[in-house]
This record gives sequence, C-alpha cells and structure tokens, in this order.
Amino acid sequence: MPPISFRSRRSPAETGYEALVHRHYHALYRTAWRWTRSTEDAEDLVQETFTRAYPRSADIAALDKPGSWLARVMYRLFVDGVRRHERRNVVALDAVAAEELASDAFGPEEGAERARNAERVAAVWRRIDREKRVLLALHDIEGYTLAEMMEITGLKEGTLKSRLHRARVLLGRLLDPDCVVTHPRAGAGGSS
Amino acid sequence: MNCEQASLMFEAALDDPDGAERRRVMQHLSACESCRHAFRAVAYLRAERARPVPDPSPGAVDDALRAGLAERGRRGGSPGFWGGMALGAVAASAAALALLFVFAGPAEMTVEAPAVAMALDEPKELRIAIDAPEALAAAEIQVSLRGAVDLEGFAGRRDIRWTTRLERGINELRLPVTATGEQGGQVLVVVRHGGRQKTFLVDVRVLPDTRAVERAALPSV
Repeated sequence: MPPISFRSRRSPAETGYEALVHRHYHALYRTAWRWTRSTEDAEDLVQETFTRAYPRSADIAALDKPGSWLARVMYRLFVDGVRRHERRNVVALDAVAAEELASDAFGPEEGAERARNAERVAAVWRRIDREKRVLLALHDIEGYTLAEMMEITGLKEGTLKSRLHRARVLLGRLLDPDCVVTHPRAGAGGSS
Repeated sequence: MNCEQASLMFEAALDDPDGAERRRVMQHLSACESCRHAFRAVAYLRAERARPVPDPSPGAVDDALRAGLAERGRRGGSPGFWGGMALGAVAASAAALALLFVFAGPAEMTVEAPAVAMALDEPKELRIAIDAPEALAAAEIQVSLRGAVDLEGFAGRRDIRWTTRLERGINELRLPVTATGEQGGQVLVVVRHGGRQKTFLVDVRVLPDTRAVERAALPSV
C-alpha cells in the first residue's frame, strides 16, 4: 500500500528509443546477419548501433528514413571495426543452415544443390573484407539499389560500382570450383 | 558490350536463360574472365536470397533496449538531469517542484539536490522522478523528514517506508510537503534494492513572507 502517490512513466527520450528499437531491430539484424553470418555477431553489431543512436533517438525517429540512418551507422561500425571483432567460427552454424536447406521445402536434389551452394558461400565469406561483404550482401542478396547504397555507404556512384564489381570478382574467384577453399579459422579474415 | 554494361544485365540473364540478354552476357563472358567470376558470384548470391536468416536470440531486443539505457547511465543520466535540479531551486511559485535522480552508479550513494524554496504553511507537491535503468521488483522506498517540514496526510510521522515495484524508466514519487517553520528542513528519499541504496536529499527552505517584507518597506506615518 504505497502511502504516497507513486506512478511510473517513460521519459520522452526513452519512449522514442524504445519505439526506434522495436521498429527497426529485425530489419537491421537481418542485414547484420547477412554481413556477419553469425547470430551473436549480428546481435552485437545491432546492439552497438542502437547504443550509438540512443542520445539522438528523438532526432532519428523524426527523419524521413530512420532505417537508412541506422544502417549507415551500422555500416561504419562494421567496416571500421570499431565494435568487437567477429569472434565465432561460422562453419558450424552454416553447416546447420545447409542441412535445413537440404531438408526443407525442396526436393532432395534441388535442396542438396542449394545446400552445397550455401556451404560454398559460407566457406569463403569471411575471406572477403568487410566492405566487400557489405556491398555484396546489400546489392546482390538484399536487393538494395545503388542509390540506397550510396546513402548508406557515402560512396559515390562510380566508386560504388567499381568496388561492387571488384567484390563480385573476388567472391566469384573464391567460388570457382577449381579454387581450393578451406574453412576459415575463427575470427580470421574480414579484418579490413 | 563492356564490363559495366554486362554487369547491368546479369540479373536479366539469370532470370531468363533463353533470353537475348543472356546470349549477350554469355558472349561477353566468353572473352572476359573477371566478368565470368562476377557473374558466378551474382548467381550464388541470388540463391542466398532464399536462404532464411536465423531468428535473433530470445531477449535480443530487450538487450538492445537495456544497452541504450546503460549508455544513458554512463553518460550521467537523461538530458535535463541537473536541469531538473535547477528547476527545483527556482520554481518556488510553481504548483509542483520537480527533481530527478537516477538509480544507477555506485552501490551506495547520496545525491544532494539544490534546495527548494516554498512559502510557510503552504503545501507544495515535490515530485521526485526516480529513473531506474531496469524494472526493480520489491524496491524499498523510505521517506524521512528532518526539521520543520511535514507531509500532508501524515501528520506527526517522520519516517514512512513501503515496498513497491519500480518500472524501468521514470517512476514519479509525489510528496505533498509543507514547511511548518521558518528554519525549513530536509526531505530524504531512500531507495533500496538488491544490496544497493541511493539516498536523495532535498533541502527545504522557507521563502520570506512577502507581505511582511512589503509592510516593513512602507514608510511609517
């Protein structure tokens, strides 16, 4: 029995921050997972992004595209390596995902083919530097336009195109069946 | 066709294996090794689109929320933390006096707020916002009075305690305080939870009786 009036309320900053997190967490996490291919690393990256956003959450929420602003912050954190380094070996996780792909929703042959492809991409992904991974994931997996990527990366169109091409060429070389690929060690590669 | 033109047609070439774009792209690839690699990459990554992204861990969203709040604590509280204190010092004529403190930092800490001023024998609502970085079940609240101050509805009681749940964020404690003597007094609010104790100390000062001052200033006749 509280003898004195006592009530709970959210500060405006906290309310704005909560709304921002709830609205954008999953989209950012999905993107971060594409970059890192690790649930834990993706969560760390997204959390760090929101932490950076906290002091300005009210301003960010008022933007036309708060998601783009957050993606830009996350891009810088990831590419600059400010956050903790990726720590986990992704092989085990990707092996699980490959098994899921093999068993779900596809016929055995198609599923097996998809699983092999997924395994090959997973095996070489962290041998690519972070910026290239971001460009590949944004454009060729998530379908971002070059204009959207310019907004996130701050790169000019010509620079973006040439770097995307170089990233594709590198990944394609690593995926070449004649190229011998070994699983990366934990935390190896991607140091940019 | 140059490499840039070819790369713009990769998607179309993958969409329609029998289309004209496919033939043109293949023609370019036959003579361009780097574009062969790039095309292979695009084909692999296109298959990745269908690959499900694992769900984040249960509680990951809450962790992100908590991380932001921890950042706020690290930075020394919400914007307006000390602004709220200053408001208390100058808001003598306002209907309520607002003060804020954060339940964070060292395990035991006393925060001294700037003094609040109020007229003698006129109840004033003192609002103390306790900013909790997370929900605190069974937090013990203690309100103690020192000197010539009283709590409306609790005549004669100098110490009031109860247990309550503090929600994450701002928990507003409203204290109807009356200064009962010109010397004023102090209001202490103590919050205890999980071995931590924060004490919030508010000095209550009494404003001079303006009518008496005005009377004294009048020339005698």
